[in-house]
Amino acid sequence: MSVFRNVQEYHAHLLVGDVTCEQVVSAYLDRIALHKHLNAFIHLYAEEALHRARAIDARIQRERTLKRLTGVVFGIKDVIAYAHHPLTAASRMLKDFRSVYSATAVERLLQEEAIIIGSLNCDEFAMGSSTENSWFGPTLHPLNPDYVPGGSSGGSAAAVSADLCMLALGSDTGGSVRQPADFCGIIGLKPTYGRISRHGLIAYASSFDQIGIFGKDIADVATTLEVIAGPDEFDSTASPLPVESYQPVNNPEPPSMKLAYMKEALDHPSLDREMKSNIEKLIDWLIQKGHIVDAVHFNYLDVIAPAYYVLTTAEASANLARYDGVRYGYRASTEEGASLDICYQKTRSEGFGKEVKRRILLGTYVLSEGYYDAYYTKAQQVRRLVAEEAYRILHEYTCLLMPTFPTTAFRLGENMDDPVKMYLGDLYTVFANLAGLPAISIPLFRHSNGLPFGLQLVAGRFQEKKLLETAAYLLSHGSTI
Amino acid sequence: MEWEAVIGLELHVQLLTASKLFSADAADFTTEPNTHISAISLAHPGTLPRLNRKAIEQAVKLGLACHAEITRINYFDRKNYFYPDLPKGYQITQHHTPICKGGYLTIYVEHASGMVRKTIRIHHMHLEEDAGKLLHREHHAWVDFNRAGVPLLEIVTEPDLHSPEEAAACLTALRRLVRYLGVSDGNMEEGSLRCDVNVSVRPAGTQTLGTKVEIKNLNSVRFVRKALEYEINRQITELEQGIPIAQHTRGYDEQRNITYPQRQKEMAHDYRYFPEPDLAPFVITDSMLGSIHQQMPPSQELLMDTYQNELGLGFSEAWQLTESPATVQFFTENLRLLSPAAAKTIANWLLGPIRAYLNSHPLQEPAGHLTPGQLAELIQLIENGTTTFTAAAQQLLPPLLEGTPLSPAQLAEQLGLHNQPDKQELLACVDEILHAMPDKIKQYRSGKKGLLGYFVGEVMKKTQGKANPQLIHELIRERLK
Repeated sequence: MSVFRNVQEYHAHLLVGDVTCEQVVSAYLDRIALHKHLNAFIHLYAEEALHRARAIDARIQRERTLKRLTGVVFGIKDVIAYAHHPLTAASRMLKDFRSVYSATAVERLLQEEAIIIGSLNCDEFAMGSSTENSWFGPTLHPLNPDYVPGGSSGGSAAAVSADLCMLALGSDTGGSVRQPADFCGIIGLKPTYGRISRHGLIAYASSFDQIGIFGKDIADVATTLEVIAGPDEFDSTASPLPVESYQPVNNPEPPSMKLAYMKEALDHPSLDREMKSNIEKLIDWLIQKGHIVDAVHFNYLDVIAPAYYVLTTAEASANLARYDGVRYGYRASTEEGASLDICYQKTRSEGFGKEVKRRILLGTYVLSEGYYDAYYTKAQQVRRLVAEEAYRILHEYTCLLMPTFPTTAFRLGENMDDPVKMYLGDLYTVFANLAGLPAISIPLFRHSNGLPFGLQLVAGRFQEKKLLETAAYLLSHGSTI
Repeated sequence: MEWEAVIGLELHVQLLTASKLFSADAADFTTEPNTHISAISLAHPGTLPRLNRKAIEQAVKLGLACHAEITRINYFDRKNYFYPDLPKGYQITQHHTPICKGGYLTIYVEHASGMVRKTIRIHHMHLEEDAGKLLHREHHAWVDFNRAGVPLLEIVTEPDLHSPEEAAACLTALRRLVRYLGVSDGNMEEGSLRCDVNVSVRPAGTQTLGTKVEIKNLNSVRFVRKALEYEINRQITELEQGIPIAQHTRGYDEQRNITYPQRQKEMAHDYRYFPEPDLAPFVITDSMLGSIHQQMPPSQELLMDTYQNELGLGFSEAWQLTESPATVQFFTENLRLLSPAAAKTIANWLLGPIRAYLNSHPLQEPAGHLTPGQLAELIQLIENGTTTFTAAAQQLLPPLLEGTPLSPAQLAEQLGLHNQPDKQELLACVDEILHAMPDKIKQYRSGKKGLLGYFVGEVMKKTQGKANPQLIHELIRERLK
């Protein structure tokens, strides 16, 4: 059997009884086996998923009812805790670690009877844009194995794109959900900072991190958000705002929308020309349809990626200090009588990969006495300006349109020797993280090089409803644009 | 030359809370190692701090009692350093916005003229989490994380203290206050209260501060005094020899009663403080402040003044009566039932026979099962001559403290302790005794007034101690006029 297009269709069949959860899990397991070369999963929970599917099937038999995500097969990025399962962060540091508790998001998925089929590969500690920085090897692009699927949630994007699971969770600190979704031709949503509890999400940069959702169907993404969002006693930074219905109303001719794009973003020299003209065509189409699409100015485009890297590495340098080999995780073998400092040095030198060490060092540096004001304080000022500017724009416009990434997916190894080039690619995605805004990448385009790419939409704080509605509208006209 | 010492204290108070500052595990760290731990206190991947509201309340109580300004919007910071007893690799503390600012502590210092009241200004108080404990056994270091995360309040005084006695008095006053408020058990041996001192000397009458030396970890009031005595002398001796004092940290050797320089770290620590992004700012509202205020016992320092100045009690009586809210409440209730004029009598009961009995019996402070009403009755029984102080203290008090269901009057009757002889009988008895010793009467009349006591004693003997000696005294004097 093949897999279903969306939860609604799947659930209709489950209720009719012509398909079982077990059959669906088996189908996914078959596809996973077929796509093993993609290296999308770090750990697969095959037996357990089948077992859970059978239990759910039995319950459906008895009760003839479905919960919101009954039987829906999820993959979770391996930075999200699932009780009694491995939690590696794709790092040697945690290669044998198992979490004793579940993330709130996972807990809520399970309550709605979702089935978690495995943990998904990513860049180590979610640091990277290509999923090449994984202790477990890179994940390959599902459409062309010479290319990267993007990152850091590359395993999640590849798995959903190749139908190895129906939906997946990722994490987005500076674009780690939207950029791989963009590369792999699927939907990637990063909600407002604080919309989904971070309890159980391995911290990279606490004031930026947000769990995100990958899917192929906008309604499924909305349902998943409804399930996992909301206040949580385990995360004081999670918003107390109640969760609303995020289901986009299917309106092929909605009333005139007020949208904007940053002139500097489309004119940026790093943006691929063909991608730029595609987006311009979309803007023309929208205007033709009677919508307002204004060009707005944004003066900080070239400083947002540097500010982002100063602040996130600063937070990361502290967040990763706990991996010291004392209580859990990798511990280097040292000679009898070796000093404490040697234990720390060896453990952390051997346990972390190159990119993680680079960011820890960078973050330590920008917080050091004498450099603090020049880097950390300055970057915080930039962040505040960006947030104010974003507020000003999104107060007037429903959504900002922009590219998700300046290019389509790049080749494996292409950017590995130039971290700064890799970092600067994030210029379009870090905006939403700096300002804490909800953003989504939706698959609207295909490049002449054969690779898909998306359009990014950014909305005001906690405007997920409008964001998803605008996304749904564009997706429904995707082929005609 | 005359020298003046300038001393400031840094006090670490462990706050009495059921659970830790940022997790639900028990804050009791006296149990078996690593029994009060959790994913949060062990800093497992993905965990976030959860602020314990009770710790905030405790800090606010002490702040209010010290007339400090309470910070309404509380932020926390990360203090970064590596040590095996520090699970996260950083300590969550309040570097920039301490919960209490300013205020003062009232201390009492012994002088030749009596106890002198002084106020010591407080610089600030801030909340932070404690670290675990290293145990060294058989060439191995073990870590006990029970204490990791226990709430601490660090109190920093201004350098308003000028002698070892004042420093000791300040520490005593703080310990007494935190116990009175129930903010901490103030136990220095167990480390619930820890004290560092900063001390410098300068020529008397000058205003410039000398170079300060810090003495760390003084774990008793006596050691604070002795360490300061030694250190002040040491500094004066050095300065008089022309050796300048270098700013450094010293330890105190209790055995040899000396302070000694502690090994300096090769580099000064750069803690790279930055705002803790995992905690939303904690806001102390007016209503929270109001309800904390309501829960607090009456001001200890105001009671000290009232008891001494208005009730005419001595310093020591006032000091002891204001040691705990329960004693204050008992005493206040008694005053209400009797009269302010009875203050001294009540104090004598509470601090005399009652305290003596409690010292050797396992009963609740301040008066076991004795109620203020019963004590008032007891006092009245003596005043109206129904029974004597001695009989009441020795025979009526113990059963009342132990919780007899009888009232003092019933008890006196049951034990046959009512002053059996009424005035008439007593007079007959007096006459009989006096009649038997005409010689002594002659001596008395000729000026040997000391015999009065002898006559009283004889009558007491005759009445088996049941009679009121005051009354006998009066009757005999009457007869011998």
